[in-house]
This record gives sequence, structure tokens and C-alpha cells, in this order.
Amino acid sequence: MLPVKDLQANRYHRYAGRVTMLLIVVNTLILGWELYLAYSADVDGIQTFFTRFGFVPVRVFAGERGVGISIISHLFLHGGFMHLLGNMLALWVFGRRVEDACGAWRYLFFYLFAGLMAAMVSAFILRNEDIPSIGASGAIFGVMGAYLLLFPEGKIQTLVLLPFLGIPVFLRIRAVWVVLYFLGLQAIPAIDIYLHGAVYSIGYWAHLGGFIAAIFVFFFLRPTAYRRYWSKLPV
Amino acid sequence: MYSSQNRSSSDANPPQTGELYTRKLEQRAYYALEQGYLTNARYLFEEIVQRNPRNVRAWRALIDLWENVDERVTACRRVLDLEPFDDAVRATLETLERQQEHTLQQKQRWVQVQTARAQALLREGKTEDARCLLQTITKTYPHHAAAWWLLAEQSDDDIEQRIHALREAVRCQPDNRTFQTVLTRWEYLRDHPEELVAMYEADGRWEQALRFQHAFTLQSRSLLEWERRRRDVLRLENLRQAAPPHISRLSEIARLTLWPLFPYLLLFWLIDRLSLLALALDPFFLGSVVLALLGGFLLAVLEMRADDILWRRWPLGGDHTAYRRMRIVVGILGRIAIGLPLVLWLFDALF
Repeated sequence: MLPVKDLQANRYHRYAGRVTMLLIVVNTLILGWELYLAYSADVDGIQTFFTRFGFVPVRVFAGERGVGISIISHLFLHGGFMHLLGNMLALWVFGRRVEDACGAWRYLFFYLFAGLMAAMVSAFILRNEDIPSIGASGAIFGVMGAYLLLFPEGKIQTLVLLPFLGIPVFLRIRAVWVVLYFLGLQAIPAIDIYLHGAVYSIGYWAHLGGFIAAIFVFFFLRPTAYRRYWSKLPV
Repeated sequence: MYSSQNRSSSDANPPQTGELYTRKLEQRAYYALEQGYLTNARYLFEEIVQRNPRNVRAWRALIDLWENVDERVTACRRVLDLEPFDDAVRATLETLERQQEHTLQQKQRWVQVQTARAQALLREGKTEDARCLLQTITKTYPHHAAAWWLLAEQSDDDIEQRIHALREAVRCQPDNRTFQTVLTRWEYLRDHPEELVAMYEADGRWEQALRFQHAFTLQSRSLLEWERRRRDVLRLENLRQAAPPHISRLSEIARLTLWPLFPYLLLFWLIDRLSLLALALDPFFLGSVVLALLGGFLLAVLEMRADDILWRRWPLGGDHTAYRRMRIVVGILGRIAIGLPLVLWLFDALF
């Protein structure tokens, strides 16, 4: 299941989505820089880059000097083109209307906040993790959670592979099902990590952490959207 | 009758001038006076003083012919200008001035009583009755600033009437800063109807918001603009139907002030290895919190629109465009205050 497009229009600002687009551009440029490092610098260049700017809980708890920047920088790093594409597609699909409901400035800070919350939850659960975590997915799960809270009735055009047949079809699915589907995908491995100490290459707890941050979206809403929410009107 | 005859003759022929004609007019005026045609006599004497303002006899006659005390005082003063030693007219003037003062006091007392009555009506919620009474007061005595002020406050439906009432209040009390500021604010809102609509919407006054949005939509200069504004009309109509609850400004400002705190709190908590004690002792964190809250507050004030109490107290002088400038400045300052700690921290962490 791949969300492709949010079918609803903006309500508050015709051009809302500029910060989302800016984030996509910044993430893409940084991936470009990573690729440049990987192909032109020495072999350890990209490794050093990830170690310095990726989020490593062990280094955070050890209080290593210069580790602070990784708390934010890891949100803008990706491990490859598909990693970036998946994240940015989700950011575009779910971010535009959340940005519209929050306003550009507050949305940017909400995005950072969700990313930080993801890092914090991840650091709590995986205290001894020494592999750098990278990716915007924690923040994007925050945005998805906010979307679920604000627009549960929203319709998302989703690319689905038909079971058994493997034929791709575009379906209009309610946002609540799309988001819950992705949340469900995180929950089982996250429990496995917590109970059995299983090792995965994906930061499931960071995703859940980002999702938790969505509860705070009400502090970031513009006044009209906030009032509409409490009036049970479509935000 | 005499006067109309006189007018029709003067319409037919070119106006006559000269000493002879004035004398003829005077004769007619005295004749009318003797015959008891006081109105005609008054018209004629008025025409005489218009032609020759130094005609003391005509002025003297007008002292008795005019009914209004203020006019009679004027006539007395003109006579005394021309003949300063006329004791009889001086005595009349003194009497008239006493009378004038007495009338003025009576009028003021009446205005005060009526204004208090209007206030009582407003307290009882009888807005329409209060507005009618205030209109009568301002018509009878247009120098009572408080009545104009109250009338302005009750002119919710008509922004032009409100501005007119405020201008009159400012004319009555030019030194009153509050009147000046409120007038400036409403002039600004008249020129920025989108803010006016937003203000009414924020207050949950859907009827007013819709009325002004309709008017605003009609002023659209292009089809695109019209469509955009029409969408707002529909949105407001939906809101009116749903009648959402009003959220107090205080809670809104608190909510909009707090949001920058959350990312900073998490960021510094992570930097200080999730230790609350280290966080509390970090001066950079404390400074950042203060700045973030200040920025959040400024942006909250910006969201609250021009009619908010915070904007009302902003000293802006007489320039209503100052609101727009001030809002831009507040927006920039707010964003700087919120973003600065992050930029400083990033700079420190990177270099």
C-alpha cells in the first residue's frame, strides 16, 4: 500500500504546502550531497558523515562532544533513493493539509518536534544502540498522526497491489485506514524489540515516538482550525 | 407672502443694488413690522444686514425679531461693535447671555440624564431603543463626546456610521487619546475588510462577519478574487449553521504562546542527556525558553487581529497604516525570537 495523493483541497491557504515542499527539497539536496560523498570522497567519508550526523543513542547518553547536531541533522539524512522517495511521498501526501491547518511557521516547528520526539523515544528504548539512525520517518509519522487526528474523513488515493494477482490499482481509501495500516506495521516489530530485544534495520520505536508527538498538534493549529476541530466541523 | 413676492420679483429681474434700494427695503421692513408681519420683517432685515453689515438699525431690529438666543446675542454684539455706548443693548446682551448660560446648563443636564438613560437601556439589552435615544441626543446637542462615543459603540452594523460618530467624538474632545486610537483602528478596519471579517469570526459573530464578507465579495476586481471570497462566504455560512462555541482570547493566546516551547524542551533535554536537573541549570536553555515564549506570544498577538484588546492599547498616533506596519514588525520580531535560539544552537553545534 502506497499513499500517492491527498484528494482534498486546502482550506485556509491556497498555497499551503510550501514548507512541505521546502523540506522535500532540502532532504533531496542532502541525499545528493551524501551520494557525492559516497562516490567522490574516500571510502570512510560517507561512514564518517553518517556517524557524525546520524543519531546514535549511546553517544547521546555518553555526552560526547558535538553529538548535539545529530539530534536534528538525522532527520534530513536518508540511506538511499528509495528511502527518500518513500518518506517524501508520505510527507507530501500527509503534510500539505497539516501545514494548511497549522500555518507554515508552526508546521515547521511541529515537524521538528515530531522528529525530536521520535529521537527521544528511540533513545529511551534503545539506550545501547550504537548504529546511527537516519531518516525523516519519525517526523513524518508525527505528521501522519496529526493528519489522522485532524482529517480522519480525508480520502487518500493509494496504490495497492491486489492480493494474489499482484496487479497495481489506485484506490481512494479513507485516511484513517491508511494511517492505521502503517501504524499497525510498526506496532508488531516495536513490541518484538521491546520484549525480546530483536534487532531490526528500521527504527520502529522512533516511528511510534513520532506518532505520539501528533497529540501535541493542537498547540500548533491556527485559531480557526482549532475552533473548527472543537466544533466537530471538518478541520 | 411678502417675502415670496419679493423673491419672485428678484428672480425675474437682476438683483437691485445701491443705497436707494436698501432704503426701500428698510421702509418695507418697518412697514411689515408695524403691520405685525414679523416673519416678513425678519427676512427683510436679514437681507438688509446681508447687503450692508454696518446697518445698525437693522441689527437692532433683529435683536427682537430673532427667536434663537444665540442669534440674538450675535445681533447684540454687532450693534455694540458699531455703537459701543448703547447701554440698553448692553443690558439686553447681559440678560441674553445669562439666559444663554442657563439654557446651556439645562441642555447639558438634559443630555446627561438622557445619556444615563441610554446607558441604562444598553445594560437592559435594549440596543435599538438606546441607539434611537443616542441619535436624538447627538442631533440636539452635537457637542457631547460621550453620546457620540456610545453611539459609535452601538453602530455594529454600519461601519461608516461608527466612523462618523467617532470623528464627532474626536471633534468634541480632540485631546482624548482613546477616541483617536479607536478612530484610527476603525479606519484601518474599514480599509481592510478581510480583517474586519476575521475579527467578527474570531468573536463568533457570524451575522456581522457574513454581512461584511458579502460586501467584500461584491468589491472583487476579478473572477478569481470573487470565487475566493465567495468560498469564504460559504465557509462562514456553514459556521453560522454549526454555531461553534466561542474560545476565549486568553486561552487562545496561551495556546499560541506555548507551541515553540515543546521542540526546544525536547531538543535541550536530549542534549543534556535527558536530565531534568542539567536542563534546569542550563542558562542557554533558559534564555531560549524565554525567547521562544516571547516569540510565541508576539505571533499569538499577531493572530488576534486588529481589534484585539492588545492592539487597541498599542500607541499608534493618528496614522492608521501604522497598524499594518506594526503587524509586520511584530511578525518579524516573533519569528526572530522563536528561530534565533535554534540558529544559535545550530551554529554552535556545527562550528
